[in-house]
Amino acid sequence: MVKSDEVNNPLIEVKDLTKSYRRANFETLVLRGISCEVSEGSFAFVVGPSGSGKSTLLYLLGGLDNPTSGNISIAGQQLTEMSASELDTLRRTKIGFIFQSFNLLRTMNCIDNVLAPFIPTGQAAAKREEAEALLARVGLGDRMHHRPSELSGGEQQRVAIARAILKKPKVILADEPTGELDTETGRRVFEILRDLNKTEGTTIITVTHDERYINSNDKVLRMQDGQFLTK
Amino acid sequence: MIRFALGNLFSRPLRTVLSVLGLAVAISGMVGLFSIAGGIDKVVSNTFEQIPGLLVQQQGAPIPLFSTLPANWRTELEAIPGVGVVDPEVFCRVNQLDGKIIINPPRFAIGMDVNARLELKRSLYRENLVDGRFFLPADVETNHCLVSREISTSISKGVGDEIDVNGTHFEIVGIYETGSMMLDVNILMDISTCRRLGRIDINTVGCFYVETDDSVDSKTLQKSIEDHFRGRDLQSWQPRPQFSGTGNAIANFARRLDKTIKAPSINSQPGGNQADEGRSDEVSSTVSAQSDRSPIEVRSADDWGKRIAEFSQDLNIFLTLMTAIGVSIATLSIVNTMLMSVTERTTEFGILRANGWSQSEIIRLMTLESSLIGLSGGLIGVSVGWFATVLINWVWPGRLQLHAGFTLLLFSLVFSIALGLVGGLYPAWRASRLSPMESIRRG
Repeated sequence: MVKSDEVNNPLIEVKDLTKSYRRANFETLVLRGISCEVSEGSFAFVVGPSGSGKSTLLYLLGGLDNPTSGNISIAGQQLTEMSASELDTLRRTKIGFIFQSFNLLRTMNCIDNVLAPFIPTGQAAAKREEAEALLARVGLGDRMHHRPSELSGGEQQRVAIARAILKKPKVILADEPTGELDTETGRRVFEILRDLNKTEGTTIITVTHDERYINSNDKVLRMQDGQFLTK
Repeated sequence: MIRFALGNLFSRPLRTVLSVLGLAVAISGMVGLFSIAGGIDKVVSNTFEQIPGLLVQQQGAPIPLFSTLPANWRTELEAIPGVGVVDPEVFCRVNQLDGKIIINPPRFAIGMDVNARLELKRSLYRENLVDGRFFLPADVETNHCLVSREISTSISKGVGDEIDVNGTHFEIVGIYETGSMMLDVNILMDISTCRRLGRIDINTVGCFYVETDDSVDSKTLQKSIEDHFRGRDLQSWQPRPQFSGTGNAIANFARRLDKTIKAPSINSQPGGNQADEGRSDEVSSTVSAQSDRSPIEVRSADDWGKRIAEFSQDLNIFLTLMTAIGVSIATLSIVNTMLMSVTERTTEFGILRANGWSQSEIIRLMTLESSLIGLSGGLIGVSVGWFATVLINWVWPGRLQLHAGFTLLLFSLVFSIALGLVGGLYPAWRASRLSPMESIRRG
């Protein structure tokens, strides 16, 4: 098992996690019985070559797919035991996602994209001021009513970050957040994430190929062929 | 959610507009088709609502125009308690008017007993006189006539002018307007004049119009009259050759109506008591020995309403089948539009799921979008359909009378929204079933 350096209060616990896909009578084992813990408030990186299972692990941690076997626990809640609606609530309230391709809703402007998680619950109007403040915090105070197509890649990713943090999540799962950004813009994105980690205590787990953004205090989980590599 | 749904629809404007237009065409067609039935209902109810008395006519005849009864039954009718005034009426088709062949809209000459008409407490044509005067006792046996405003306008003749009806000269003494397409086709004249014009047997009438003396109610009087003539037998009504041609809207309508409301064929049992002598060939003088049926029908405005409702139901089935074709195509168009949308927006659904949207919320979003297509298509379709009925009624006032009432328009709108909703259900279900992880990775 790979443990966090200061695992006094693990927020995320992964135990014997396997994930396989079956296509045309051929089974591909993507995750091979991995276990790990990530403590609350830590800044973690999952690194490794393409196809090593990093993103699959990230999506399983976010409850976007079901493991083949094993358990994932977030803040004491076993994901495998949660109902579909409980998982929806978990994603809406406790987990923020940031993707490599930004994945903003192209028909909405910045402010509405940030409010998207709360549209079906009818809380969007109540959270509007907060969303505006968040956009201002990530440097997009003057771009609130622009659509994604009118923004640069870095600006789009900052909107995605604002969307992820509006819900005040316990954990942010970022899948290659700087993959489509230049170095300077990537640095600015990580500055925001580190500020969030420091000021709000939000746990951040980032999948990346680019190890330039890893600090010495960060937890690093190295993967290869569906397994963690031990240091 | 509505803003989001609208944004999604506006982001693919051409496809949305085509889908909306497809539905609008189907809905406007539906409004147009059902306005035919609505028009018939309106015309008939408007007609018979203006006739407060009872119509005594031959059993099985769809409308008085096709009925023939013995003329001397008038005396018997007048003797029935509760009967106030009995006005015998005869009818004949006008084939030529001022030298022009009349096919459509049809024109009919109605002969009435002028003196009896003047005794009526309520008289349809007298009450709807718009120019000139109504008949006077002095008009008996004369070639004086009243025409509707529509006829007057179509031949550009007014009060005091002469017109040629089937080769006979008449002087117009008055002009009426009832607002009913079934009544405003008539040229009114004295009964004996009409008999000469149509070569109608002096011993027959088309029907009797009976006004009560208010001592009994209509239902009781209706039953009394039918009971009085029960046991006598007339040959059941058959279409006259003059009404069997094509291109006559009222005759065609009457034939259809007749099929719908005609009772089972009357069993003629020759050798019974003679009810009358000297009837026309349609009024068989044979009388059954003990028939339970009355040879006549006494109809009130309520009866007409019920019978027309039955006829309308049959017509509505036919119209529903026709509408179903257009509506099915429109629904498939919505399904296609929404399925394409699902395919294109796979990543979007994954993003929404990642942000806490549940499967049911995805279904809500998709069905909301398809319902908005339904609402838009419905609003356009209903508006176009309604406007088309108004336009058609305006262009051909005497030939077509379509009626798209509020209920039909509201139903069509709700139906259109429901179609949009149903059309979006399957695509929405498919969208909700997508794996969020697969959806996002595909993007």
